[in-house]
Amino acid sequence: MEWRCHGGNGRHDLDRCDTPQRDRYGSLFPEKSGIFYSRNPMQLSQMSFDSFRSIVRDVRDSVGSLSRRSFEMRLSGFSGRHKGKSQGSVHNAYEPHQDIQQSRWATLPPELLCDVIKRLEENEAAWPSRKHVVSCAAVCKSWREMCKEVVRSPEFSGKLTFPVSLKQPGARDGVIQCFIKRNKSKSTYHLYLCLSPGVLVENGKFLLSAKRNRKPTCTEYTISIDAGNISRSSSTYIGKLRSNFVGTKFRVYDTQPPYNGAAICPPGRTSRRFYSKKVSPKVPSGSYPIAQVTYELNILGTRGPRRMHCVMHSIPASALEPGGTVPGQPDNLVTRSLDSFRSLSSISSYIDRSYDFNSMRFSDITGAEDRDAEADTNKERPLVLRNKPPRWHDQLQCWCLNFRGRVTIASVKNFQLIGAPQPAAVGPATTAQPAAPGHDKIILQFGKVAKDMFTMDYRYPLSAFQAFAICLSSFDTKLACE
Amino acid sequence: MIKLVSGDGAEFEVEEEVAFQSKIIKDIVADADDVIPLPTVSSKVLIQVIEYCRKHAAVNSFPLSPSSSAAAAASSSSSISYSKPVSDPALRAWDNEFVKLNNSSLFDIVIAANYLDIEELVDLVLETVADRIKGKQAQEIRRQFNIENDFTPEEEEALRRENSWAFQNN
Repeated sequence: MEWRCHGGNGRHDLDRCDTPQRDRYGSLFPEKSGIFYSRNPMQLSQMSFDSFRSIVRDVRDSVGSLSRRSFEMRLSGFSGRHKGKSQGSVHNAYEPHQDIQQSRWATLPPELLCDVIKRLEENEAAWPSRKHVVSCAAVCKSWREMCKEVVRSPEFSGKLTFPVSLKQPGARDGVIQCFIKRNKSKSTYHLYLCLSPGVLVENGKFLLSAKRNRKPTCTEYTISIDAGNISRSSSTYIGKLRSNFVGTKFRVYDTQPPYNGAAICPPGRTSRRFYSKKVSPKVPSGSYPIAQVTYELNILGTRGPRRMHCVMHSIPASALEPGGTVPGQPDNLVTRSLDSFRSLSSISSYIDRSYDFNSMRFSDITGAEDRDAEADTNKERPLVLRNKPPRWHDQLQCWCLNFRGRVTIASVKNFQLIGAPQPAAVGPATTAQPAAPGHDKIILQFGKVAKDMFTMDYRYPLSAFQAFAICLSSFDTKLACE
Repeated sequence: MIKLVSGDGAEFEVEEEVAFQSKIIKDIVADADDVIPLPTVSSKVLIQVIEYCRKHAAVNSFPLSPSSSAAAAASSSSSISYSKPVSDPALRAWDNEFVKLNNSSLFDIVIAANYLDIEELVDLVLETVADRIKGKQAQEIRRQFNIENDFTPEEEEALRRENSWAFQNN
């Protein structure tokens, strides 16, 4: 599963790959001559070199008439030195076309634009200078399209670039290292991407913020992409975490629907409400439960390590199998307002190829009958994560986990999550499977490094948003006895 | 000598090693006589391109005889490297001077260089463009390159959020 023109180098990659192949010789032909110009790049690319030569011969024969028409559109008034035969007429022909000249950079051939953006993408690999790639994607539609083709998702590049990266799975190879700063007096939590090694260096790129709101029956954490304005009514709101009354169960809500739509909603719960919300274009975002985190006491009561159990409704268990994927990843963080970009970027978006997002959305709106049918087809087991049980260390007289230096202070909040082999709760029909090779990998690790500093390292298939929400639940749990 | 004819009919006589900086011309000449029409290249641009080729032909020592040009083309196309740094520091300094042009002229040159398949010149200009984009916000990039903002107000609002996240750091 790869993007079409990623990685590799320069426009030569484009020459090799199969889609946006615009033959470089295409530009040979005068744009306005009407003879050779073709809007279909494939047509040009299939031209053999021999035919190119014969066309050159033809052009040579008709230089007088043909070239005149072409250079009228291109030439911008020139200075001395040349042995031109028709200088006077050229000048006259040129002046009215000033406006066309002005915006020619917007018409840069795609393979050259791709080259420029690749250079930028490679040179500005690390934050904070990576923001310039984001700038580039906001210049115009064709630039944005190209940026989306060139910039690979964090799953394959390990890099976060656009805010939408926060809801896409983390890196398949290696972890994405982050830290969380807690502000106890303001009840806020800020997630940063680590920009330098060392657990106590506060050098980070802001990713997400959360604010804790105590309610009579629960605690709610509002999650935002704005560091300062953390509220549900803001357009930067992207989801929330809500606890049950006793603080042992947490549900993560996303403003965007997961791949399997409302099939994940427990029967008889509030799924109908989500539908009515979705149909109304006025409501910018929904609230879809995408994960549940449960804390359990162990046999030692509150004195031993806690047991954590996360059911990721929006990620199928198969995501951890070899060749598995996370379907229905968002293409944009704010779905509605950037919908039109999806069609633009569809030529290479791997999301579009792996999963038909649009048809899913259509069936969402059509109602309950379709939903039942859809629920049947989406009965895939959700991914279940559990914490890695710590070992009792006889000499230190404590429970230990190996955090490989990323966690320095013992705390009951610290945890490491791994894939659970087989959730018993899903149903007796499914047979127990041996743990797949991917199941011993630590997918999320969280732990204390200073009084109000915690590290959070995550990887595929979790997204930064999901990982952050799970970590927030660890802050809140009432089973903690420090 | 090879005669190049610009789009506006100006003729330029250049040495083979200068003209052969363009892979396209090299391939055409192997097959045809020595007058090469370049209908999409204006004389103003062709002058600049020839200036570049002349400089690079003098510095680069390629096997340039027509008989070996096919072999040279084959080997060079397999060993193309992206952003191949020009190794000679004096030539690099000359290149840096060469691209001190406004964005409109650079556009003409890169289009011509791409059409003539002058690898190093395309790389040089695109690298310059990437440098000029660096460190600027979208609006400045649009202004600098005269690119029209074709987003809807709604899309722009979403882009504003995206950019404020990217530029936010507290």
